[in-house]
Amino acid sequence: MIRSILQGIAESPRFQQGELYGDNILQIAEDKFSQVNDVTKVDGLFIVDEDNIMTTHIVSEGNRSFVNIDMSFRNYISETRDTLQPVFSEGFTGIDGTFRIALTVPIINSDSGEYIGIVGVTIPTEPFFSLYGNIHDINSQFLVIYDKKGTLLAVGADESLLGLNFFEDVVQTFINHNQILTNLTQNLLKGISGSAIYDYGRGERITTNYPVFINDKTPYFIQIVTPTGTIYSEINNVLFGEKLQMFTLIGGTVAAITTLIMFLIKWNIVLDNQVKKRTKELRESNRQLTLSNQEIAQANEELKVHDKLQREFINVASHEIKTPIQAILTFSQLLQKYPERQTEFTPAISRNSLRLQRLSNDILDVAKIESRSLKLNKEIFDLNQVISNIIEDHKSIILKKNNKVKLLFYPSKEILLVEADKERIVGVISNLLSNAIKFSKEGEIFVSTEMKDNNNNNFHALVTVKDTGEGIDPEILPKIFSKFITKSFEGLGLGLYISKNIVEAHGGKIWAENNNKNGNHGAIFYFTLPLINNVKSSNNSIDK
Amino acid sequence: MSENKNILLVDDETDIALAFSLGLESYGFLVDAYTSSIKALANFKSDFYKLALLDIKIPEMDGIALYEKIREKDKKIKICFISAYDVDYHIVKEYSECIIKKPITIEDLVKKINTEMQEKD
Repeated sequence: MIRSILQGIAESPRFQQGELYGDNILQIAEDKFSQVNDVTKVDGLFIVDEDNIMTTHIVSEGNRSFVNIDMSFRNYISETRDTLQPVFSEGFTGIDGTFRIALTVPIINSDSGEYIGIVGVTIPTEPFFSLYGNIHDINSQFLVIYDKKGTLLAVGADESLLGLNFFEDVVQTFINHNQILTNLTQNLLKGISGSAIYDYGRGERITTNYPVFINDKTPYFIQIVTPTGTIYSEINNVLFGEKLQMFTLIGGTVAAITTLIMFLIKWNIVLDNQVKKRTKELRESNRQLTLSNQEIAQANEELKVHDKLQREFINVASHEIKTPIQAILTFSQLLQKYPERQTEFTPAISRNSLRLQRLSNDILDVAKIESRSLKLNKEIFDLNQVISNIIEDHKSIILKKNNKVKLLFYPSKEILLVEADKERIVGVISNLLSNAIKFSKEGEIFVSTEMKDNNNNNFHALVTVKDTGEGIDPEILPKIFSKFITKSFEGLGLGLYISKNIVEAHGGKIWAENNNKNGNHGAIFYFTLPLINNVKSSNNSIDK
Repeated sequence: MSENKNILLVDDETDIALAFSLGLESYGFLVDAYTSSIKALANFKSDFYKLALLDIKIPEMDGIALYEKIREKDKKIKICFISAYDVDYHIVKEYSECIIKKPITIEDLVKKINTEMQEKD
């Protein structure tokens, strides 16, 4: 602003024509001086001619005016003249002792370019720079302003330092030769921004560099010095406010979290109870499932066993049916071919026909048992007599087969009258005897009968068939009265199943055991039948 | 050289062993019949029989075991299995393709035997 006013003076017609003094010039100078002072406090406006002689000098009240003196001693004059550019001067001490800076603008004829002189103002640094900040109070933020040589133009720390060079001993002593500040100032004068914290004995300060750029030049350099205590107290104030807010916030948050935790604990208890309940239900469900699985597995196992037995039965049945058929078929063909050998072939045909008949009877009996349509044609007979007859029949069979087995019968002393299906009971005894003969090969088979009282005057007959064979396979023993159970290569394994059902249909019981006592071996089969007779002594008819 | 008509027959059913022997002999075959595989093996004559007819389910030693023993003694002999059981034929077939199911007429049995005997080794 000041520079533009000075520029206006330099470019005004009178000045352009070299008129640098006189009343008119004086009038203009005064007007401009007043105008400049509206902007900032200047204490002098001067005009020098081409020979550096001051031609006009307007000063503020109380100041001395110097006219016709050679101003060459002021660097800013020669600099303005040499550069033909406006100059912001370094600081200098006036004759009256006031420390000032000067702003000068060259007066150049705009047509010819001829140098005419200089118009400039002198500005006391203290009021000037105080416009920009505190340059008096060392205890609060203040400014320190340097010219490019490091001369202090304004200094809030101590006014007595004004006009002194920063690097002079007085100033360095003042700052206790603080190297941090010295380095910072050296950087500032090189145009480098930056800041530093230091303490040269008057409290900790933070100082920031601000080079002042005017037309790409840096005539002045500013340091803003701030005692850190003020910053900290401000920070404290801010922090305290923040802290309060934080406490409030934390308090609120803690209350919210507490409520949330209480809610979560409550919820957790509810969930825990639910989980316990569900776990219990699941355990029960699992237990049931395990039981069901075990039952299914057991049923499956039983089905597998049953399935295997069925397959084996079909296989054995196939063999049992086809074998006599094959014999009958072949002997019939032979009989046709060799009719003269009739006596040789017909017994074989007859034998195998009977075998087929027995087989078909067994299958029919099982069908009747399973359909609960087994009918008993009961009659009263002496069990001992019937057994005796069966023994005789089997003895003749043994003889025919050249078997070495001996059959021994020990009947009870009493007559054992039973009311039963004779044919069926004969079938049961024959089956037991046939088995005993089949598995004995040699040795003795003992058949005995006894009358037993079950203590209620209900008498029953006990029939025992004991052989001296290999005994019953322990694996088979528990299921020996089941269907399809056989260790023989002949037969369907139905005989004992049918016998059991017949005995039970008469109200009796049948069971088996191995004779392992006293070094014996072999199987013992027992069955009972209810008796109807009174006790009678019989002839002791042991049949050997 | 006259044709070999010797046949080994093993079947634990006495009537079957007898009936097949008589039936085959009526067609000119010479049959050695056994109801025990142990006895059959004990009396086995290598390079004597043209064909063996073996029941599959025989007590003491079954037809397959007997097959293996016979095969050790005689590489040339034709071996047929004969059974009234519904056996697992795919197992038996690993040993012999010749499987005869009972009941069978003498004529069909003779045909089957002749076919098998004419098969090249």
